[in-house]
This record gives sequence, structure tokens and C-alpha cells, in this order.
Amino acid sequence: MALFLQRLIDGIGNGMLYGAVALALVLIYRATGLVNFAQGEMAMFCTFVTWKLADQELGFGLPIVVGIAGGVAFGFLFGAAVERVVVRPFEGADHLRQMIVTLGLFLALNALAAWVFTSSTERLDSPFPAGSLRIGGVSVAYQQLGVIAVLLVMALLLRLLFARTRLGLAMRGAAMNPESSRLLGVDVSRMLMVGWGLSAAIGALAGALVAPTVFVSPTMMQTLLLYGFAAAVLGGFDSAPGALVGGVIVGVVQAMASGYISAIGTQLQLATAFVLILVVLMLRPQGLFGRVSVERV
Amino acid sequence: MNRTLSGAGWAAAVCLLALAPFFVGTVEISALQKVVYLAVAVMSLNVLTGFNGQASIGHSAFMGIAAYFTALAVQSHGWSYWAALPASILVAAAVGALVGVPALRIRGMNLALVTLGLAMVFPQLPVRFSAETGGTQGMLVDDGLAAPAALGVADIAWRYWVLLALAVAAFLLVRNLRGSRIGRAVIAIRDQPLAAHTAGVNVAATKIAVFAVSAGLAGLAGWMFTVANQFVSPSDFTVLVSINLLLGMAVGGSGTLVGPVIGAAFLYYVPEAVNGSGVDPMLTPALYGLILILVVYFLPGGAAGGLARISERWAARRNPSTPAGQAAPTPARVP
Repeated sequence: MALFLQRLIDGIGNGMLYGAVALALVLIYRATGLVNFAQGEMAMFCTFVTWKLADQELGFGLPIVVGIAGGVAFGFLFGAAVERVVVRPFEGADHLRQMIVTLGLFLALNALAAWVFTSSTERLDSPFPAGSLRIGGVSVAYQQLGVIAVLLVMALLLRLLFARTRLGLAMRGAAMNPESSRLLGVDVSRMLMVGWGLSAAIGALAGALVAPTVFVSPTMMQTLLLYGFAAAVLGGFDSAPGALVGGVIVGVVQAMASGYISAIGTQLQLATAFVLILVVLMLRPQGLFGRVSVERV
Repeated sequence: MNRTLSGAGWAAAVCLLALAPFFVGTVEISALQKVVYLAVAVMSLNVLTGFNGQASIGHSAFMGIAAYFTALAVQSHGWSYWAALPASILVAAAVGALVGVPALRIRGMNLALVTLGLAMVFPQLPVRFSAETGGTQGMLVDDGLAAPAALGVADIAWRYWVLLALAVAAFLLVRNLRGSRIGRAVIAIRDQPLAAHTAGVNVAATKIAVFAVSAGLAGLAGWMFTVANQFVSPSDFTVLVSINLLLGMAVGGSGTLVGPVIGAAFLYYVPEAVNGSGVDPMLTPALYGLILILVVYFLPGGAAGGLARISERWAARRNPSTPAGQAAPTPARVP
């Protein structure tokens, strides 16, 4: 029982991170109908910025919290710039072309990060104290608790942004009905830029939070991206709460499957994400929270 | 371009390539082998994405499945390469058909997601079963594909000819399929799925069939990979390889026959040129990414589409009776 609870807790901790990546994907998908395959690489690039700001030897040695804030701020500007320079020219193009563009971005960022920063694996300090809290037979690392808390606060802030502010309203309008929003004076292109910025900032935060466990390297976000996709598919690709719930489910399924099915073990954990994507698309393609899309002929 | 003229061009190119072992050394021949299997790999993606409009980031996995299948069959189970050829193609095609099914549920980016998953999971499999496959170290295949003794030619030349002949066969297959009833249905599904459906095309069955054929062709490229290199490792079949194939397709010209050849030459010779020019080779993928974005923006038909436009314009100038505006082809739809 203790082992089960332990795996549950670990699963939820990882799952919140998958949920954050999924949330970043969903924000862009809802606004533009585009699946951003470069999301993980963008987050990885921002995490390198955090590392550069915070590392004692090779960086500027700033406190880790300042480093993360810097990485997230960089992420916002970077995401907005990517939207303006790389994505905007393809607005309205078919999905295949847009997908290929994001894959080009994937390749480019992956190589650029290795060239600008380093291709070796680096450590990043955790902003949370070491050690863990013991409740009964279960130990919960402060790192895990911290990650869960920070991501919950982030989700709450996003919820407030979209539900309570004019900017959030304009963003929702631009995503839902660009034509009418334009008529009402909303600068739709600007809203898309802000959306990309927000999404990249969320990715940067997720990257900085996961870095203490997976270390910082040009490939650090690739598996996380697939888990993020699984979470987004499970939650329904257009639902923000769905993304978070989907993330937690994916995390728990992963922890249980690799814990209890010995054939999966540690090497094939990623396969659980793949199988989840397959199963959800076959049985319930709109996900748990997504809207069923009806096509008008 | 005129049909007979283009046929003659292809024949001349194949003859030149077939004669290559008499004129160049083994280094160039092994480079040409790589170009040949890359051309088949890019063509396999082109069949799916260029002709049918379905996106796949999983072709590295289909290649890898067939390459590993061949390596294991030959090295550990004593098969001959020839026995492994149809078997490895069938295995890749079967996996392709299985993966293609969920993509039918709804359109859009789902197939890309599923195939991305496949491409990411596949390199983990040899690591999981490292006792049989050598894990991340990769595995060597001791015996190469040997030339029949009666011919008295070097093994490497023989291998090159085998790969070339199979590639030519694959291209002929694709060419003939494209002009057939099935081929036109495939292209109709890309351009007007609803109209194709209305006209009686079985969209779902055709899509799965195309996916299986495409995966099978990628499997052929995988078999060729093992024959050419006699070595397989997980890093040869990562998701980055899939993206490179997409790049080759976009650069060469998707939806054309000559595009994959140009794309494969690009994929092999550009990194060589970058290495030779003193630029940090680490930057090659960054360059690739940039080229990919620029090509999709400025040259949606790829090199083949660009060449076709130039030759049209040239023909229009020589023969002014047809106004240039009318002679202009409808722009190639891309990827």
C-alpha cells in the first residue's frame, strides 16, 4: 500500500509537469489550430537561459529564483518573437505547411542551443529545499511539493487572466471568432503574439521546474513533449483544465505501468505515452473534456 | 517537360549511375549507396505526404524496424539478406497499417502525433532488449551481401547495383501507381477529400493502404540501410531522422518523382559541404531548419517545382503563340 501511494504521489508530481507542457500546447492550439511541435525545444532553450543566469561556474551566478524569472520573461519575449517572425507568414496556410515550419524550428533550436550554450549535460539547482516530507510510509520530496504548488498557482493565475481581465477576454475572443473580434476593435494578431508568448513562458517555467531532475541538455524536453502531447490528447486538445487533468492522469498511468508491469520497466516508460495517445484517439478522439467537432458540409 | 524527353532523361541518369562503379572509387560508391537509400526513404514519405497529404514524423521508425529486423535475422538467425528483404518490408508495412488506423478517426494533426510517438519510442526498444541488439552501442552484421561468384565483381559494386535496381523498381512502382485509378484517388483525397468521397472513393481504405505502402517503402529503405552499412544503432533512427526526411521532401519538391532524388542528394551532400567549408558541423541542423522554413515559404514546390516553372517560362518564351500566363502551371501544392 505504501508503495502504491508512493507511486501515486510520484505520478502526480510528474503529471503536473506534463500538464504544464500540455497547457502550453493547448493555448496555441486553441488560438490558431496549430500543434506546435517546437514547444519542447522552445522550453529547452529558455531553460538554458535560466541555467546561464543561475550557474555558478559557467553562468552569471544569480540566485536560482531570479534565474527562473529571467528564463520565463525571456520565454515570453521569445515566444512572441517566434510568432511574429516565423509563424505569422504562414497564418491561414494549411496545417501541413504549418507543421513542417514548427518542425524546422525544432531542428534549428535543438542545434542552436547546443551551439550557443553547451551540448553537454548540466545541473540546475532546485529552488526548493532538499529533503522530503514523510507521511506514514510515503516520502514526498519538497521538490515535488514545490512543483505541484507552483504549477497550481500558475493555473489559477491563468484562469484569472482569461476570466477576469480585458486582455484575457480579448484573447479568448480572438481565438474563438477572429472576424467578429476584429470588428470590435481587438487586434487579433497582437493577441496571437501574446498567446505564443504566454505559452512559451509556461514552457520555460515547466522546463526550469523539471531541470533539477532531468538535468539541462538539448534533448531534455523531448520525452516531456511526448508526455505533454499525451496529456493534451487525453484532456481534449482545446481544453485548458483538461490539459492539467490529462497530465496528472498520464503521470499516474506512467508511474503505475512502469512500476507494476515489469516488461515496461524504466526504458519503455515512454511507450505508455504512445499507447495512451493511440487508445484515446481510437476510443474517444475528442478527449475527456474536448468539444466534439462537427464538420459542416 | 515532354514525356518521352523526361523518360529519356531518367534512363540516361540511371545508366550513368549504373556505370559509376567502373569510374569512381569505393568511397564515392558507398556515398552513392547512402544517397540511393535516402532517395527511397524520402520517396516513401513523399508517397504519403506529397501525394496523399497525410503527415508522418514516424518514417525513421519504419526504416528502423526493417533495418533492425534485417540485422537480427541475418546476424542472429542465419537468414540470407534476400530472405529478409520481403519479410522486413512486410513487417514495416504491417506496423504502418496498424498505426494508420487511429488517424482515420479525425483528421488534422493526429497522425503526426501518433507517428511522433512511434518515432520517439522506437529508439528505446533496442535499449530495452539490449541483450539481443547491443543496446545503444548498436550491432554489427558480420556477413555482407556477397556478389554471386560467377559474376566476378567486387561485393561493394554488387551491393550498389542491387540497391540501385531496387530503388529504380520502387520509383517505377510509384510512377505507375500515380497514373493509375488508385493513384488519382490518392491525390484526390489530398486535394478534395469530400469530393473524392462523393465520387465513390473509399477514403478510409485508401488512406490506410497508402500508409501501408509508404511504410513498406520506408522498410525497403531500412533493408538497404543494413545492406549498405552492415551496422544499426538506435541513433540512426531518431525523430531527427524523420524530420530530415521531411526536409529532403520539401527541398526536392513534394508530390513529384524527381523531388526525392534531389532531396536525397541534398541530405547527403550538404552536410559534407558544410563540414568541408569550416563552419561548425554542429550548426548543420540549424541550417537545415532555416532552409526548411524558407523553402516552405518561398519555394512551396521545392526544387522540382522551381525547375518546372523555369522550364515552362523558357518554353513560353521560345513559343510565343501560347501566352505565358496560360502556360503557367497551377502551382504545385505542397507539403
